[in-house]
Amino acid sequence: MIRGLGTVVVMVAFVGLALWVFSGRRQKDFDEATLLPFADDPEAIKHVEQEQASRSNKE
Amino acid sequence: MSTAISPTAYNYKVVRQFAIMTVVWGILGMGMGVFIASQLVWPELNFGLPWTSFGRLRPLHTNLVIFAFGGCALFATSYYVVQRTCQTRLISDSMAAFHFWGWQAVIIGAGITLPLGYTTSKEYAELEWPLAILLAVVWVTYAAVFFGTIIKRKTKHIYVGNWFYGAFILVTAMLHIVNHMSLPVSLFKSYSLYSGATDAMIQWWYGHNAVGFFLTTGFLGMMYYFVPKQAERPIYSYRLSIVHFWALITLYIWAGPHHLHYTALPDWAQSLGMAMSIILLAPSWGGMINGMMTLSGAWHKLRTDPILRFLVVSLAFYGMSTFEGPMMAIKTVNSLSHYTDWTIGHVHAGALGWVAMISIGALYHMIPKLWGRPQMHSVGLINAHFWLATIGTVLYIASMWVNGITQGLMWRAINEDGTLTYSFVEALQASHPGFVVRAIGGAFFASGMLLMAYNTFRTVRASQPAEAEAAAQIAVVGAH
Repeated sequence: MIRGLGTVVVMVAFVGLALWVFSGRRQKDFDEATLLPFADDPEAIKHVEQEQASRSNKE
Repeated sequence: MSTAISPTAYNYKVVRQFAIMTVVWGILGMGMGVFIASQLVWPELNFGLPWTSFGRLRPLHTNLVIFAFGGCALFATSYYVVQRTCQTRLISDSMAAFHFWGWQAVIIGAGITLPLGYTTSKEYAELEWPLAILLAVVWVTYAAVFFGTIIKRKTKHIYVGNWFYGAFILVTAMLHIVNHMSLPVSLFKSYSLYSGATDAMIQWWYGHNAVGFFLTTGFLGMMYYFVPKQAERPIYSYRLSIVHFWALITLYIWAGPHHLHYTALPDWAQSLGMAMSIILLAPSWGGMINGMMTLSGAWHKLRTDPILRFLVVSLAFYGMSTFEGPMMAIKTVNSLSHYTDWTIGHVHAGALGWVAMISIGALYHMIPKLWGRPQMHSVGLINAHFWLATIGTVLYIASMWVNGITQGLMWRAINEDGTLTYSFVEALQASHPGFVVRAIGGAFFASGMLLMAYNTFRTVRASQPAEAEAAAQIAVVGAH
């Protein structure tokens, strides 16, 4: 009984995590966070933002 | 503007110290590895002395490469990454300095006590209680500096690399403290609080998660910063990185029992450990794919950039060893592989191929930036180091596969009347050529570290104090 419950709890947690992560509302936050390694480096951020723009133009 | 504790500058001093010590301990730890590998080829190298015997030097080798080399690499990069992605200075310079000097003291303590034979006899947790307590205090200080810096960050988000570093710090503290619970009987001798199969289970819960959280999660934090930074492309999928993080830390903690297959550990616990180890393949490969795919559309950079090559090849070895690991955790495979050299080969696929290579790549990226130089003194030497490391790793793991399978098959071979076909010594003799190849592979890998030391020395020597100081300034770009 208790072992089965453990499995259910972990499964619900995983599905919940997946729903949270893949919700469209978090797109903007993730786009910001993903640039953090470049954000304090003026040269790199220019480089990366250009590349991102050209990547999204292609799509 | 020559104030050393300017609030507008990063604390690069502690990062530089840990970065230099990573190279120093790398040479000593890997050199010790080559020495004990040579002892297995030529047993006379034991010199007939207790202090230089294999049994005492082997734990010194593992402590030096895991805690001294790997630890310093993790501390250097985590302090660098947490400051730069939070755009703020470490909360306390003196606590960071205590962390640095305290850690070096623990390692020197290990270098003295282990050859003298003082040991708890727990693998990767050999240090006796006074050193274990010092280590715990140093570790808590590290946690306070790291999480304190995250709390006072100037950015809105906590970058995913810091999540991995944070998990590594928290879980390592938990593992170390729980596994080291013991009763001291004298200054250098203590007995574990646990007994029998419980003690074994606690030890391998610790042991496997030392691999999972010290040697994997921390280095994944490194991967999530340095691979995108060196490739100048954002991580392939930030969403995948979040799923990767939670799945990995949820599953790793259960995999320890696969170290105790066919022992007194209850059978259900062995099967649970096996099942969890197999599931672990999914998050491991998710992380590897996330790192690899960051390069999609930029693979041509590998042709010209040996630093990126270090990082990407380390991911390839990570993928390989995280496939091999779950396979070896299957009980039927384990009955062949356990106690053989296959296990040692598997560990080194991870330790040399993944841990050391990603650390080396991250250091080559970081060292010029820490001292305000455009790049390392010699890119050619980085390239030479890359090939020495790759060839060394391949020689090491290939020889151990051959040895491991040979030993496993010879040990289990029986005659028609049920007696053993081979004596132990016959299997040992059959292993001798593999021991030779392993020592050569290890020597390749360790010699690459000497090139790195020379390259680092020249880079640091070329740096002007003003350049180094300017490099530490916090450049705030745009609103984040």
